[in-house]
Amino acid sequence: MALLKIENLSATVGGKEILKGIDLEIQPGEVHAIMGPNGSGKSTLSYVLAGRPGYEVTGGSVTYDGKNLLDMAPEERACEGVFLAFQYPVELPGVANTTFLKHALNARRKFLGEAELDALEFVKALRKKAKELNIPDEMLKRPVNVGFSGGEKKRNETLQMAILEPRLAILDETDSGLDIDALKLVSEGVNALRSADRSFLVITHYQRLLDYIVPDKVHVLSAGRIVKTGGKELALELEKTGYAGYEDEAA
Amino acid sequence: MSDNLLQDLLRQRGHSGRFEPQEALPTRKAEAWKYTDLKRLEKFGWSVWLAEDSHGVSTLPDAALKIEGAINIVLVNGFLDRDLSALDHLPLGLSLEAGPASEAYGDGFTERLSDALTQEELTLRVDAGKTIEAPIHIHHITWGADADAAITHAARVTITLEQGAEATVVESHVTASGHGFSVPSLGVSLGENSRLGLYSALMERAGSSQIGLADIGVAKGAVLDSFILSIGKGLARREVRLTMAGERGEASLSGAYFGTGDALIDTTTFVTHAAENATSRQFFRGVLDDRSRGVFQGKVLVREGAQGTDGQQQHKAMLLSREAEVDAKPELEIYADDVQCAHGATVGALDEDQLFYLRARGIPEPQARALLTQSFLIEAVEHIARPAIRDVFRDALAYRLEGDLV
Repeated sequence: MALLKIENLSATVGGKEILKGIDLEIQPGEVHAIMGPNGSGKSTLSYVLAGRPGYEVTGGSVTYDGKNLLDMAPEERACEGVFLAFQYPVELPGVANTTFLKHALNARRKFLGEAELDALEFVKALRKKAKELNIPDEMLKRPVNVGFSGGEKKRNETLQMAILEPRLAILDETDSGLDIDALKLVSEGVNALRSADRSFLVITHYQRLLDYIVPDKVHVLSAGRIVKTGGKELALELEKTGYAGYEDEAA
Repeated sequence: MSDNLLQDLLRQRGHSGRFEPQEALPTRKAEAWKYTDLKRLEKFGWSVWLAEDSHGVSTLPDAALKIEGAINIVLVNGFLDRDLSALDHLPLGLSLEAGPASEAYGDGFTERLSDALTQEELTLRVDAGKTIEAPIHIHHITWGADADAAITHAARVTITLEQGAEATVVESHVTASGHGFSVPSLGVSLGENSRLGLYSALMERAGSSQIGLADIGVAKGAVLDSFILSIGKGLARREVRLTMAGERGEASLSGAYFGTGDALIDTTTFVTHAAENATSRQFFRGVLDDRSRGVFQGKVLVREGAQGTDGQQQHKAMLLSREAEVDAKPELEIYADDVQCAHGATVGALDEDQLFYLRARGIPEPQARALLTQSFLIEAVEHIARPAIRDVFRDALAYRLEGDLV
């Protein structure tokens, strides 16, 4: 059974139709990439899947692990294992990174009927994963994303993903604003999480990220529709030709 | 009940102070009370607590703020309770006495009310050059014989730090039983190069009202670190008059408040810079839910000749419900030319992006709201310079927020 099944999904933002009938199916363990020009609806798709208020679904369905994803509140989706790595991670002044992660992890454990994690155990696990992502202890004590550089914010998103161990991770332009070293680090973090029962939806404008996170399938999104699907070689092809041809196709 | 509430209280007290025979409580027509309506006081028939009355408090109530290692001084209904207070073995350099009340300062309504109703004054003094390590915790407790009791009391505390002295004073206000209408006043004098941490916690229950006054003078080179945590469920007005009287004095006057139900929390500050090169910092944060109201009236006056003044004031409030309201009135009045003064006041709602971010990580909406509310207020609490007190106030705030939001 597909982990995620999107059928004929359409959505509006502020009354404007952005998604115009998306079909997409992701099997457990698969990595799918969605590429497309600016304004094609990439970020809208990620927000619709995460349940952001203001993104209104006007048609179609999204089935996640056999359940109607669109019926769930954002927090329920997260607890069911859907994780969105934000393109622009939000700053939370006054909320320490560690506190935030602990709240998030315990919320999920509570939802799943598991006991809350012991504070000491949690800090140990957190430090280990932070170290792998080259995140210093000091960054864990600071308020979430406040004063972080672009690269630090993306590493922090990856850390959250590593801690929360989602079943479906949606990476929204995780490569934007990253230099090559940070890109490698984040990609390694993502690759370390790849497993037979975890799927990824990698949204990107550029092919570069897919050199490091190699996808099973690549979809081209244009004007709110998936206009082409292929293997990883499609990304390379796009790199050469650009999106010009696809914009025409959609129009 | 007689003609009006004020006259009734004065008659019970047997002392009309500086009030006219027919004078009543101020209404919202008076500029200083424009945003704070005292009508709610009429819901109860208040009894003025007198020196001969006896209370039933035998230990600190559960609601009391607890500070480890503090010297606890307990006032019940405005009078020092010697049995509950740690008066024996006070550290060297600290003296504490209770006696008849002196006069307050100024002729505003609050000063006159405090003068008329205050029966006893607690005088706390730290000798020159002495540092009192343990925090001095003054507990103001309202006690009524039963749940319906409505007690009026007015305590006055004066704190004097002589030259070079150092101390930390916490004054907290809680209700043990019944309701209180209290008019506590604080007279604080920081001598040259002295250092005082002065922290207030207003935590009275619904139905209570407090009109409090603090008059603080900061002499040359002295440093004041103060904070007002206002998390009670009734009416709590705190008027602070802070005078930077000597050069190079420094004062931090900050606070955080949280209102629920029909709480009304009013912070009215008046900072006067009367000397050169003194610094004052005001940083206030407030969150209002339900039908609660917040008032912030902050004035900074820089007198002629107070060159080099640095006076900053910031008030930020967040409204969690459509029925909540905040009124902010910042004012600057400057008569010197070489000064740095700024004030800022903003009112907003919870940030939707932040809320979604937390929810997208699995944190349920009510908990996410509580976390954001708490972090907004904690930014003010972080201004408390003494770490031990900062921790206690942070916990008290978290406890209060959890009680109502999660």
